[in-house]
Amino acid sequence: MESNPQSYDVLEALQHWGAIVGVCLVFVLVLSVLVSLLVAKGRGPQRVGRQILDGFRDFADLSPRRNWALAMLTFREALRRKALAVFGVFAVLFMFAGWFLANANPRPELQVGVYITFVLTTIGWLILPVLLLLSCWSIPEDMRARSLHTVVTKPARRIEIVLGRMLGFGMLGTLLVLAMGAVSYVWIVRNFPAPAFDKVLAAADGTEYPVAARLTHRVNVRVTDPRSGETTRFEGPDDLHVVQEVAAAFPDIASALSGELAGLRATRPVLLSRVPQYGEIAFLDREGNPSARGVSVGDEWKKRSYVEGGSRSRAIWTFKDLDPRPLGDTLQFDAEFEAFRTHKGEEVTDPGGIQRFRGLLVQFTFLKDLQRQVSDAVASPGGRFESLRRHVREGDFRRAGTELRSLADGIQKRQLNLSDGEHDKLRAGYGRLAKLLEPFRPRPGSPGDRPDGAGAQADATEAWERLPELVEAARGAERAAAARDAAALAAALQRLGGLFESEEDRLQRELVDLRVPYPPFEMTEYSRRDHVVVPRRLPNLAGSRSGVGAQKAVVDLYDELTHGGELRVEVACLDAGQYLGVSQRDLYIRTPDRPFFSGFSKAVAVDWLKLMLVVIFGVTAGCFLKGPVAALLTFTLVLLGNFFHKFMGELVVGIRLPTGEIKRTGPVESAINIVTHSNPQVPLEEGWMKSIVDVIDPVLLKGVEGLLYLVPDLSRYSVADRVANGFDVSWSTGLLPALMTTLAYFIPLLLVGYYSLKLRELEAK
Amino acid sequence: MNGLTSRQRKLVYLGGIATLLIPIIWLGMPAGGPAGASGDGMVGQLAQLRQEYDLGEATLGDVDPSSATMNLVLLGMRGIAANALWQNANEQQKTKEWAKLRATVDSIILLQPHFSQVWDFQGWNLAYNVSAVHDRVEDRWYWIKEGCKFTQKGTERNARSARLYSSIGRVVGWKVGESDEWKTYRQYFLRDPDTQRFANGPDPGIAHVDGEIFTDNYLAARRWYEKGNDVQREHPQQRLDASVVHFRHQPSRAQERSAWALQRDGIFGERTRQAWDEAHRLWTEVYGRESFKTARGEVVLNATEADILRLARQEQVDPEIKRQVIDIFRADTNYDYWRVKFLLESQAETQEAHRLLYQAKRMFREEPGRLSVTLVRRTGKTCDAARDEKLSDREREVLARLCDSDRPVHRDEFASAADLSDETLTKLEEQGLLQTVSEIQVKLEDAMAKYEQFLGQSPLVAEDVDAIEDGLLAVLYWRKAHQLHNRPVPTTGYPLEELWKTKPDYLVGAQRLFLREMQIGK
Repeated sequence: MESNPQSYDVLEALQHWGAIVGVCLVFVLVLSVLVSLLVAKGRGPQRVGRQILDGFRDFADLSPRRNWALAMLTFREALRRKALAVFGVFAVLFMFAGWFLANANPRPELQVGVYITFVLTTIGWLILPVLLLLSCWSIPEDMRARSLHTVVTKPARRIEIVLGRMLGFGMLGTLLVLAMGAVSYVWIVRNFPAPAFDKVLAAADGTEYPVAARLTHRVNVRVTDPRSGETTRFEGPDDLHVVQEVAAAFPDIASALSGELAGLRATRPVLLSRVPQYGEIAFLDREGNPSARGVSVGDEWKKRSYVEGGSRSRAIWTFKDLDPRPLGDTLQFDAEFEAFRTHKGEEVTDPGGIQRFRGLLVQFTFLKDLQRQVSDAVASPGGRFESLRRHVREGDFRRAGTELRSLADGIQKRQLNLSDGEHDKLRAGYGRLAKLLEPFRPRPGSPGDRPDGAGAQADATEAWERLPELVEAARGAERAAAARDAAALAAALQRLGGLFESEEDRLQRELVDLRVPYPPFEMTEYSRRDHVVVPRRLPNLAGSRSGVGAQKAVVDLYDELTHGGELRVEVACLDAGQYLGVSQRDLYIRTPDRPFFSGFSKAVAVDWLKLMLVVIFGVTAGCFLKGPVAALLTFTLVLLGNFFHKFMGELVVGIRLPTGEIKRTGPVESAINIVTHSNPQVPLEEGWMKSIVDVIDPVLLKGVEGLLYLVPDLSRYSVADRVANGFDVSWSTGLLPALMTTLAYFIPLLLVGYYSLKLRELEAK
Repeated sequence: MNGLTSRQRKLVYLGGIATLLIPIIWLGMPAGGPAGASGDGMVGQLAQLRQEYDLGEATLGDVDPSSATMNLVLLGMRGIAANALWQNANEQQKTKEWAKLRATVDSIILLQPHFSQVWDFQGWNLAYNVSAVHDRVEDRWYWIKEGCKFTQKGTERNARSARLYSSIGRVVGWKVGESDEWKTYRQYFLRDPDTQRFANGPDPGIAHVDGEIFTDNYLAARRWYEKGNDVQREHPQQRLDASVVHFRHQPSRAQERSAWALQRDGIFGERTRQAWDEAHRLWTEVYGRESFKTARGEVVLNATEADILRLARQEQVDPEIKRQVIDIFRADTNYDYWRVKFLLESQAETQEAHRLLYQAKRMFREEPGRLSVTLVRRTGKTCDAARDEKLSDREREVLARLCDSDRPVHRDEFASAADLSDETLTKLEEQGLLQTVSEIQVKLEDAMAKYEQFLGQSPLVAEDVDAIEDGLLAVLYWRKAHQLHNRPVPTTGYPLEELWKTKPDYLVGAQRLFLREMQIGK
């Protein structure tokens, strides 16, 4: 399972960063002016202004040569201080790592994660103290030894001294990370070599074909024809493709292949970088109605909720922006569901004569349920909109239009007053309606050349002249609901209702419900991911309720089952009395794997960015504090950022009480709770104690909130788990957040370091 | 300050260190001391004392170099590190990160290698809790083995901890043999589902004990219990979870389970009888004859009159008091019940009763066709009626033929041979002069009669819950055989009637067994 996979919104992050840095700058500026007024009276602000101008000048005059020279000096100084001795510790650790890790678990697919986590943790935590101490002690030590005087008397600016240190230690960190990363990579690959498969397969006539396969993130198979002696190579993203190709090329051993290469499938490589495409999840309850979550089976871990087997309960994943180009003629899913049984289930006997209980049967159904989605979108608030939902479900758009206009009348005449919650649902619902309708717009380009199949739809919708009006009416309703503007909402719904009536035939034709079930499979749990390969041309097993696909025997997955690049997959558990545990990340489309090196190197890069952040903090702290204090401060920040950032966030946000109320407990109240052994969920009794708490705690919590914004969230750098679990580290969820966080601290801390060193009395040791 | 120079001070320090090192080296020499120096009372004295009082780490079991290194490196922070690891393990178990959990558990035991409760708890946790949350039975089996192997490793590090051997016995015997999936587990015990790794054979990690291959999990468990007993005898100071008297009976109980499991698997006859016989031997001749030192003096559970007199004389107490003390321990261990049970079970007649019952129940579940009424048999009135002048000659002749037959006869054959119509048969049955029955009903009644004999042999067995529930279960099958064909269930005159009427409190348990057997078989 992948942790922390949220996509990073750069724009939002920049806004957030700008606000915090801006507030801090204004605060520092105001404080500086006030202090300068106290110290230098009327000339104070002028001096502050001069310093700011000096700062701009220094920044503008930054010299790459001087920076490079200072960075190299720093690097050499670090080497003289025997920083590379850390390699000794590293070597010792790796020499004896086998004592602690080897044979802990004989199953390689379980063991590999432990090894990868070990090396990535080791790299991070071994280099961190070296860089932390060097960067924190560097400038204070130079000041103590007065060697800094020789630098500042040179034509080197203070900002270059700070930047040079950061770059120098950064170079050292880079060297250490690269070397340790390379050793670690070789160590892991040696421990988990790519599985090989060597067999001699006998054809029906007795001819023996040597077959050799090597499994990395791709499958390479070599088949030697004994008659000609020629060796043919086959390569593909997975064994399924390759086996098919081999079977096509050597039909006389095709039957032997099908059985023998089952062994190939059983020996999958463990070092992989899967590239998942995640979707959004929604649930249907046992009656088939939309539900926020599935059933709770009482698991302490709330990650998954459960789909009831043998009922109409479903989990539906919506995969957006599906790009079929790299996927080829198949769509591959990985599923990591969990099972919860209320009875043992069916006992079966394997071909080998071993008895076991059959795994839960899971079935995927591919949906293009436009009618259902439109009905849910237009009637999103429920209640008084239910009859509207029913009319759309029945395909009766004329009555649906009439109902919409009637609702609009009610809103116009204030007979139907909508709550804020209903407005929000309407906004979301009509926004969704617009999105569902938009793909029917004719698009430039010839029909069918769009990879998501919208081209085929474009061909059919070319003549839908009033579609833009429909989309615009839906967008209008969305905007009016967002603005809580009853008149505008009523007008938009009136318009939409009219369009529903006039466009009834077209809507009935276009908004189809197509359901294509895929044969069920027996699920597994935990380490064994279920790998489901779905061909692009799907047999329409059960047919659909309505729509064009109902008559077709074969349906094209990309052209006929996606809508606007969206693919919907409904997951059901077929065993009555059993429950299927699912969470959003449990089902994903598996795009072609990347080499293990890809994920591993990115994880090392993220570790490196974290170390750079520590260097930036350390050098900055050394500019205004003595070595030990700077080291202590930086170490505290690292600790807070790594282990307590989430906790601070919980303190600031508070906990949700069973009543639904949010309760924030501050330090004073917590102290009282500890002394009196009280439950933190129970409010303090009225009295003088509570009065004090009510005054002090909000102030202290504000302080914690401020700290929360200033302390870096180092959990953003935790990608080792993803690599350990066999996933690639994506740019948007792994590298980018780490890079942005490091840069976000680099710029203001460089400023802080520069002004601290500039305004500091260098003689003060 | 004194007038010494820096160099002189350093030399003084060096001299002090050397002076202190001499006695340490002298005292700390190996127990034997240098050649020819042993026996002088001083050389290697510390080592000798350590050996004498079993204080050396090596005496506790194998010393793992990585464990020793870890503990030295942590510089007294072992407790904190162990605590953090325990928290990690709990979190990993909660979030179902099994591989990490296993690695964390391995790290914990590196820090606490001689804390036997850690091995005991984590081995149990892997075998019971972690295995239970897995869906696939193969995965459950894997984690049961992991728990077993983990505790086995614990016995290597803690060679004196008898409780760890007992814990392995519990997993190998009870977890494998008594889980809901026992049937599958016992198959896996013989042939591991990881056929590639174990070449279609058993996993030595669970099926081998000291190099010996076991084909029955309970017998492997017995061996572990015996090893635990040996360790406990050798190191009686080690703490146990149970009293020594209770701890020692585990091998015989494992043997009992082995015999019982054979019956459960449908294996009867000499092999099973011998298994019971062995359980009886272990109980009476090994366990029963062992002398236990208790707070009330020495106790031999299977003591003869001569033993009682000897023990009383040794401890200078009244023989009657010694007899009472032994009786208390016999009652506490349920000694007499098991003795009688093992004895009775080892008899061929008892095996026959179990076999009949097993076959009848199996026939009921698997061959429903035999529930049809196809047989005719005599009743208590048949032979009298055969001489009754009021009946016709033809009827008397038919009844006399039936009276002569010990076993039921086939209904159709009987009717055809006697040239009787269905109406006549029905009329005779209504008069109670003959009885039409199904094959299963006859089979069940034969088994019930045998089982009644078994229960009647000893009041101890007749009061045993399992024995009562098994008897009631047979009656439940028999009653169901009637009900399925809408035939009235006789209220009197059937085997086990007394049990049915006098033990209604046990009916709930028997009904639960009945439902279970009907659902998943046995």
